[in-house]
Amino acid sequence: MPESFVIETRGLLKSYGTQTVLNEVDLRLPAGAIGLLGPNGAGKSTFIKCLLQLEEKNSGEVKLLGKDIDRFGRETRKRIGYAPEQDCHIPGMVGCEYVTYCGELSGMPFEAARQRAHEMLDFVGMGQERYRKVDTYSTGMKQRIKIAQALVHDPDLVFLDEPTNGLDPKGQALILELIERIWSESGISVVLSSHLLHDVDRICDRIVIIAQGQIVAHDTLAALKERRRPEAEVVISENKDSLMRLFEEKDWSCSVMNNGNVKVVHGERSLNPLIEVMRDAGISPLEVKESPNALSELFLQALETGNGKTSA
Amino acid sequence: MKKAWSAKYRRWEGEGVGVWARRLSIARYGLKLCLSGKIIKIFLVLAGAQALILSGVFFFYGQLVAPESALLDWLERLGGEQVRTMFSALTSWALLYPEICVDGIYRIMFYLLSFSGPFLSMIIVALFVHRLIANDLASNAIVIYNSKALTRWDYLIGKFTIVSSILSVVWIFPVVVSWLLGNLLSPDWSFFYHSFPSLIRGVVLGVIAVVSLSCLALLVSSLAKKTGAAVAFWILGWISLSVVASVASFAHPAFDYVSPTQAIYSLSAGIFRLLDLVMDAQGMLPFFGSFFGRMSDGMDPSDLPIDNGEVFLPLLALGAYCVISIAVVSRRIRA
Repeated sequence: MPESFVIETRGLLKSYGTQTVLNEVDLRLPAGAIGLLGPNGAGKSTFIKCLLQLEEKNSGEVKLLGKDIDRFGRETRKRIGYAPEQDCHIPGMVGCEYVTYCGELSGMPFEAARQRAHEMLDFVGMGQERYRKVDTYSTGMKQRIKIAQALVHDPDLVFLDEPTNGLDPKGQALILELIERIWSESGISVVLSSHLLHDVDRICDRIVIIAQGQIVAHDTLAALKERRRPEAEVVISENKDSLMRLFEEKDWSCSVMNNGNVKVVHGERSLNPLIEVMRDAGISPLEVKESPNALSELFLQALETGNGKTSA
Repeated sequence: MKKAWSAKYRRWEGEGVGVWARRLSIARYGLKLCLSGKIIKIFLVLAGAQALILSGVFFFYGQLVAPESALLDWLERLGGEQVRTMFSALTSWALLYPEICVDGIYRIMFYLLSFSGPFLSMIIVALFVHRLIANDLASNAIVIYNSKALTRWDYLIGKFTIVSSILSVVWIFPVVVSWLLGNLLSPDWSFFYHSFPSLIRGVVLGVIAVVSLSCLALLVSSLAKKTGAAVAFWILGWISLSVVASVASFAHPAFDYVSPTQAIYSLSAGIFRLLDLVMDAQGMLPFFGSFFGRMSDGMDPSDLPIDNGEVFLPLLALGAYCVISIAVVSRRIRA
């Protein structure tokens, strides 16, 4: 049975005047929790907007959930949810009314939309605030209600554009937990667009890195991490010098990090040889972290590659 | 809170509704929002009250031409034999020439009604124009509409339904309701048949006015990025177009139709064709013949202080406004 893709683009081109924002993007993404990573202005939001026909593409083909958006745009969007980056509520509406309305706009009958709106507001953790006007909500509440309106019609694919923007760490953690549950509990594919590596690293099992309108890396998170140099961060309280000497003897480059931990590039497929070496030397580390900043480094490496490509 | 947060996600397996239901949802929520002010309700009641006034006029007229009505008895007692003779003649004319005596009255009343329409429309639309599209553009809600299972045309149809429903209370509701009530209360139900052409004329004018003014309201609402600006654009646009039209009409009379108000007035005259009615009355009814003869110092129709009005040019002007409005609005509502 052929693998089905939730997102397929071929030669997707979008430009504003002479500035090319998306440069012939070819991409095939299977269902899952997908992270769309890229620096600010990389074209992440434009990419999502082109998929949803919020922006008119210049050329190329786009299929969402197996359907061509040019031919079945309206029908396709019925099965898609979208939480935009910016505030987008309808002034004067209270929370539950707004989510109900969004359900109706997505093709739900009024009664079902109303019931479902309350379910989704429960799901995103909104209590009595739902009976207040959306205009009066805090940033965290606005983010939650955006997710509720994106889910109200039970889509098969949901796009979340920078959903943790403007939130404090606690608010970010709550929203990320919620997004994680969308995919893990319901099987709804999530595309999380963010410039925050931590958000994507925590939730997504597949990463797309976009820079200057091009896809510079695309794979599962595990595969991408494997591509990185095999390195580890060793948390140790004593015998730091002995440990450094031991690594140097093995020809593994190592350095002391700002936080006092030892970073080592061991070149092995797993951490086992590293642990064995330390055990034989009688050194007991507090913790050994595998490729702790892999995504971050990979991101920077991808951006450099992207820059190289575009400058070439 | 803890309990709410741990709520499980449940999949929805219900049956979806069609695109027209979604368009009507836009219209329903929009109407609720637009009619939320008190002042607009007062003006809509005023507009609706025209239906009652017209119904009253039609009722009294019906009673006057009914041979044994209580009103006629009372007037006869008041005025004596002379009044009896006059109303007997009126009854006979109504029976002999219903196209003049029945349809004519409806035509004149519906024509007079069309004078209040533009003014009421300007006031009423000014009270809600900012809540149509300007609100959605200012708050970015347009992105939500465009990301749902809707096209921009669905959105436009929904918004158009809001304006046209409200303006129908000004233009179409009084015509249809007064025609229905007036005929239901008339002594002879053949009035339904005889006054039907007037109903058609009134509804045609109403539909044209509602469609063109709705398009203009959507245009103005879509041009404003701030909600307050939409109201200012609407009122200033209305006034400035009237001024420009009246000045430009000195160069050529056709420029008068630059103003939607003037175009509607002229179209109204063209649809109701009162000069034709008077000419027919002159020819058929000796009483009216001599009356209009005295008014115009002769029998030449061009001497009468009324005309049939232009239809083509005002219709062209209103049509052009509609096309421009749709073209501009459809571009503006792209996310």
